[in-house]
Amino acid sequence: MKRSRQLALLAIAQTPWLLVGCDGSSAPQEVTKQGFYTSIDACQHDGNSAEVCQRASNSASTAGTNTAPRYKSKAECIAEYGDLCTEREHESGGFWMPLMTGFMISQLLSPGRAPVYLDSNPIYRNRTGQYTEVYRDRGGGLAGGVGTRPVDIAPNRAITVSRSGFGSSAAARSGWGGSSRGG
Amino acid sequence: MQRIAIAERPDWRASAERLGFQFHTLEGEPYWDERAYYAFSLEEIERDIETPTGEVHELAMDLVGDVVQDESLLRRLAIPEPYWEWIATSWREASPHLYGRMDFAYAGDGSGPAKLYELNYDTPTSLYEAAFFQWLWLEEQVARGALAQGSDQYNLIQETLIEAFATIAKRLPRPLYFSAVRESLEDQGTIAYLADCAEQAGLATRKIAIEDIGLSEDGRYTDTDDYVIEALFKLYPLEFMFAEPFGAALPASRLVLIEPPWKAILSNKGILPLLWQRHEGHPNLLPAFFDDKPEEALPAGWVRKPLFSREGANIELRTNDGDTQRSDGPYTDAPYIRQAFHPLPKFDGGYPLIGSWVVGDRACGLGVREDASLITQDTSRFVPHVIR
Repeated sequence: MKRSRQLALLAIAQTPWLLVGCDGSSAPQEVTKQGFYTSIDACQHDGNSAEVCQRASNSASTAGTNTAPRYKSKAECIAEYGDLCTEREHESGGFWMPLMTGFMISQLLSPGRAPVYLDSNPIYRNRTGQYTEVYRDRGGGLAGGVGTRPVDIAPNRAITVSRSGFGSSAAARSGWGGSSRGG
Repeated sequence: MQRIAIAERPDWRASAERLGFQFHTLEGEPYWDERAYYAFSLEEIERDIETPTGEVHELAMDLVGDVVQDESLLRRLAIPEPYWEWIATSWREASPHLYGRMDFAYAGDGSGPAKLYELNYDTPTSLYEAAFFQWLWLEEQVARGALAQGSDQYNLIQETLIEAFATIAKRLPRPLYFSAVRESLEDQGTIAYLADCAEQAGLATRKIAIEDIGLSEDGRYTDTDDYVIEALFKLYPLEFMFAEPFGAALPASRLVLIEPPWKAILSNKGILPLLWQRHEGHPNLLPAFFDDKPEEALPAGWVRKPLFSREGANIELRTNDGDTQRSDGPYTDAPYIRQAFHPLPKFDGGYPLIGSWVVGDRACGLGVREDASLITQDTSRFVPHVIR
């Protein structure tokens, strides 16, 4: 067969849409959408509901108390995360850990349903400005299998000084055809 | 290859509107046209379209590496000098690319190989209709019994797009912004579809009109809320961006652009004479040369095209008998090439042009557009196809 067995549309259809073709035998697949936000505002700005964003922020924060990298001394934590360190009390003695600077939401998108919230993980920023997340190797368990890896996003705000510096060629060439591109 | 009449699905307009295909009719004229379809044999698809597409894609990609380090060629392609280094760097670093479409003249069995008209490797359109709506048409027509069970289609386009997005996702800052001209229903529909595919690959996306993009004091592009745009898919020609006020900021902006800067070389019609120079006589290529004297009359049997024309604009064509056809357009400000005249085949509904899609680096599907004239323009209609 030289065509796809099934196709889905998530966002542009009036409702999420999935069709398994005539010869389709596989089960419909579901899709996970991830979003990294440094604040609840930024999360809502990206089209998520206030409720989902609040919940994601809270659950990332809770998860962080269990999974954040731990350091015996303030100096060790600062060496990695700069000022973004905090002390926690614990029965077996206190420890230092980085402060959460953002959260990564995972949501399940599937045909015919609103996005389903799956989970949310804390994001930290190390002293070089790199955002990182904690990951757990499958099967590695908590001991030994935990590490941090970079989140591929840079600080996301800047002051705009001008707009409309793109688009003029299309305007100048309009009145001809329906659009600016094509081929 | 045959053109076969078939009844329209009675509800296709409603489906189109429900499924994001608002531009099925453009300015009162039908664009999606399912009153007929083109039928191919599997051999025609695989031997005559899919294989040559993969081959020509490789030849074209090989050329990019040569062009980016050759100032005389960059000049020949009328690429502005301030962007040379940026384009070369994007090629050396293998900045990810998503897709492209090759246009072929092809008539079917026995009439010779498909001939490459041009590469649309920067802002190819007719994507949604080829990748999705054409597929839906086939599935529904088979389900209704209007097409035989077992009918197939050369169309893995959407699935390959999602794979390609998933592959490049690792190298993309998030979210990925999708941008096109605000007022173009067709372009907006196309980026909405591409964003949908990106979301299915797990990428967070946003949309912004190309006119709304801002520039910050430190030379970075911003959205309407002043968030920095770090990754931008633009359905807007690179050469337009180069010439516009914000273009100068591109090389230093650290923006990850899709299509990437090096696509400026492949979306340029100058690639056609360069391909011919290197692979003269290739069965899928037409003789092509740089036309340094566009003021001179075109000899019979040649076609004159501007380096940057889109949608068949500003094409001048002289048939072997010396008849001249000319399309109007705004692309009068660039150098020209000449390509040997090789007419599109004529079927009942007009002249079909095969658009063969390459996603990532894979040839993965086709769409046919028909026009009433030998020059395929934005007045063409998209007609679905079947493999039987």
